[in-house]
Amino acid sequence: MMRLSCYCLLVLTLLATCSAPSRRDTGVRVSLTAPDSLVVGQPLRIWLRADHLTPGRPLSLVWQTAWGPRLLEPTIASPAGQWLSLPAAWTQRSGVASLRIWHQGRLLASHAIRLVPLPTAPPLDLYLGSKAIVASPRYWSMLTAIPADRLLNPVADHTPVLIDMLRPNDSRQRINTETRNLVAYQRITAQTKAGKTMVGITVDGIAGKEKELLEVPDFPLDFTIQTAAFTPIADQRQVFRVRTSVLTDRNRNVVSDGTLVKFRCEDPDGTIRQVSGYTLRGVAEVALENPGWSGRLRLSASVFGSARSNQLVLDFPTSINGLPVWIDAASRVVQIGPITETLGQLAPNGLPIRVYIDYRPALALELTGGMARVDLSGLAPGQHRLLIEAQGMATDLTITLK
Amino acid sequence: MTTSRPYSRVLIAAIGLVGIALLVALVSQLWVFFHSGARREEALNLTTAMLDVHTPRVTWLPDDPETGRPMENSTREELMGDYIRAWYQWQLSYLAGRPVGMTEYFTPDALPKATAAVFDITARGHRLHQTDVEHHLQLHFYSADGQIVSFTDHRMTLKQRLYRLEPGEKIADDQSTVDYQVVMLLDDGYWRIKHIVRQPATAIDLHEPTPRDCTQLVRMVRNQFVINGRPFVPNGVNYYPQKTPWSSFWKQYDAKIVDRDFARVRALGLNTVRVFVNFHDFGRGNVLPERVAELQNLLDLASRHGLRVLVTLFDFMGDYRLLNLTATDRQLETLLSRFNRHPALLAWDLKNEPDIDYKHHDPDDVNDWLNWILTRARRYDPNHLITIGWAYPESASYLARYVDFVSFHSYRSLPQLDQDIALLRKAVPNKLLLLEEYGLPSYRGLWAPFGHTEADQLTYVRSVRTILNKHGNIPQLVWTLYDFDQVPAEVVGKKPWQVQPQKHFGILHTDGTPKPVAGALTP
Repeated sequence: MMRLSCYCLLVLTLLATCSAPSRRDTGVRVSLTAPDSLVVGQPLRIWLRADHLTPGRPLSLVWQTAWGPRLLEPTIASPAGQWLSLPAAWTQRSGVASLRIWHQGRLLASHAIRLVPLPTAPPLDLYLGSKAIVASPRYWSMLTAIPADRLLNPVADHTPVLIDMLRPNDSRQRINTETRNLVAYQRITAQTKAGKTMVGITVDGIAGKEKELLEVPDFPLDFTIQTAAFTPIADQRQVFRVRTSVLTDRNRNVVSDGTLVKFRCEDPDGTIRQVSGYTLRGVAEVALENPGWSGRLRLSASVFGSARSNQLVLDFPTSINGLPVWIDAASRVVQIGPITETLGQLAPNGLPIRVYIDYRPALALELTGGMARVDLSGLAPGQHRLLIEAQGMATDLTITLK
Repeated sequence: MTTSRPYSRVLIAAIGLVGIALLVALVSQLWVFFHSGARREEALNLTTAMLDVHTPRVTWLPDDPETGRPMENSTREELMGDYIRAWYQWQLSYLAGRPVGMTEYFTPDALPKATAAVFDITARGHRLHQTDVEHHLQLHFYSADGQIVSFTDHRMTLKQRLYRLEPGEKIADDQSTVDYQVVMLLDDGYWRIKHIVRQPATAIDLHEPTPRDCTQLVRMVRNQFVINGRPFVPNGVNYYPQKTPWSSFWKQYDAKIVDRDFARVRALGLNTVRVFVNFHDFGRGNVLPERVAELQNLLDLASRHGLRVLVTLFDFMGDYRLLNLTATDRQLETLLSRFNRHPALLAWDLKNEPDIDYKHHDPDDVNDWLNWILTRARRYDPNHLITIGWAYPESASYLARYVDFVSFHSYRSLPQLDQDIALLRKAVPNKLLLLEEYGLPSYRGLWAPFGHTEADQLTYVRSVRTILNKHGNIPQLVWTLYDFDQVPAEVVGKKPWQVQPQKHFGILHTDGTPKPVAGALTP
């Protein structure tokens, strides 16, 4: 019995708490009259009539655009209906807006209004990208316009767009296009001449700012190098200049100023020197110090590792007349020099001299006043071999120290 | 002096202990600090990922034949992510009554337009709940430098609920499906909406799954379950493994145990099991692949044992706000699309006891969600039957026109059950009824001294079956296979007089041996 009463109580409780699904029909009927289309920013007047409206329970007018809903709760004073003006700010967004009348959760009336954008207004929203392309028909850039009216609504599709271009070869290109899906765009395919393309755009008669497209030369073709002010003496003192031919791409466009050219120089003694130069009006020039060793110097250049020059082979003969050596075994000193050159003058200070003692790594010396000195005091008594080299000349000696 | 010395020692010891405790706490905090790396989003000042909160359905329609240039897949993902995020931030802003995180997703000239409605709705004392549930994007234009796009979001479905804050009242509950023309610009790493224009919806081909040859699936023919042309009468049990019921089930899914349990169910002469998909355990809107694999395994095992499975979805999902709608929609699509041809499925039970949620949520919101989910379920799985597991028979007539059979639960007295079925049959004369849950706990003890014995349980089930037969052999699924050792608090709370009986509804003891009631279930 107790169990039964508990169950009954439970059932009553559950029945009380489970409300049935409901969409209340309040008996209110609404008539709504509104235009089917309107230019944005214009005032919108609608005619609204409500029958059987409960006093104190307003209608809810929901205005829905792409940018969100707005809500108005108008008071309908006249049973015969009345005109209502929607706030002007509500009609500023183009597209299809819906106007729906609700009352106590029920949708009573609905109307769709097409809001038409105004004509194009300045400033035009223009984009150019990429801003620089290679002057070759394989490359292209794109001009995009997103024109809007004065309320910043995108203009209607099929709005005429005129694109006028002055190309690097001085030709004019006029392209008529139109907006579609809120934008207008045009590919600008590069021509073969490097330079600037100036672009002017007019949308619906409204002019936009000038846009500028750089059409830059393509990768250069192979080129040549040659020497200038060349004094072929291996004295490591003179300087000679190496200059490229005018670097151009396949369309004979001179490469842009500042194009990096890498020069590679292999000295007679095997030393590798890499020197960078930058083009000015298509030519790069670098100054190189003469080698300090007589023999054959090989020189080449490249751009981006692709365009390459010829290889220059330069012979640098020795400039010294001989390599006199004096040995003072008692004081353990080797005197080199005086070393003279072609005209009888002393060889310049700094001339490199290498001394090999008993096949050990070379001692690097420099000439001062035509002379150099080797101190043998650290050597153990006995027989030693000395090999002395300068500018490719060598003197081989065997000395005995006590 | 001598008497105070012991007190001072105790005091010093206490201070020492407190000091050590503080030191340990400090060191542990330092340890945690130095072993916790900054989150990537914080370190790089990135926006947080969407996680599983907002997961509307997004599909890409074929691009226009000429789009300026082809769009890379990675860009498509980023664009889609930012576009959906823009909508999400908009929804959050309406909820908060002020712009929240919108700056990154709208261009400077578009932002005032987007926030105007947020401010206006709030200023007038209203609050908007809104969600975008479906997008079909078609690319029109992608600029050469990859920084401008134009696309149309076809048939974008937007659901809105507008409330008046004072007094709290729902003004409108609306849904619109329209096209949006959109222009977005890439700026500072974000795709930002520049223009968005609402247009009438255009017809598109959505490539939805179509019904297939379903002879091997359970069909409904003249209010009777039919498989391969032969009648099928579900006779089964609600199922959780004995040691891992409710929220432990999927987290500790063990195929061997399920295999053994299904063998036991089959040995009892039963042909159907009802299982529950926990909304949260399955990963909400981003369904976890491992869960899908486990459900696949369970259905395959059922198939091997000759069982049919009634899969109950959205268990423990109690959030009917629009903001949660897309997560439920994604979980529904993921599961139904995956299993829409599985032969072991008896039907999809879209929600367990939604009418209980009428107490804590706006019933209109609950029903609106059910309507939505029901429509979507048909779309994602046109092959299987669909029902809703109502807690109370008096709720079960709602949406009866749209489900394939009407399911209800009953833990009421036998006369009440008899009366409930009669009323329900009157309200729904043309649909098959299924008693999806019923049972009696075999617990008599400290917390229920006047509770029931196993003999009472047997009598109760026999009596229920008599009532069901009287009303036209209504099929039934008893609650539940096992007695449980533990019942989570979220099921019936923590009160022992509620928890203890809940543990003893099983037709098998905790060790798997049958109770007397098991014999009453054999056909």
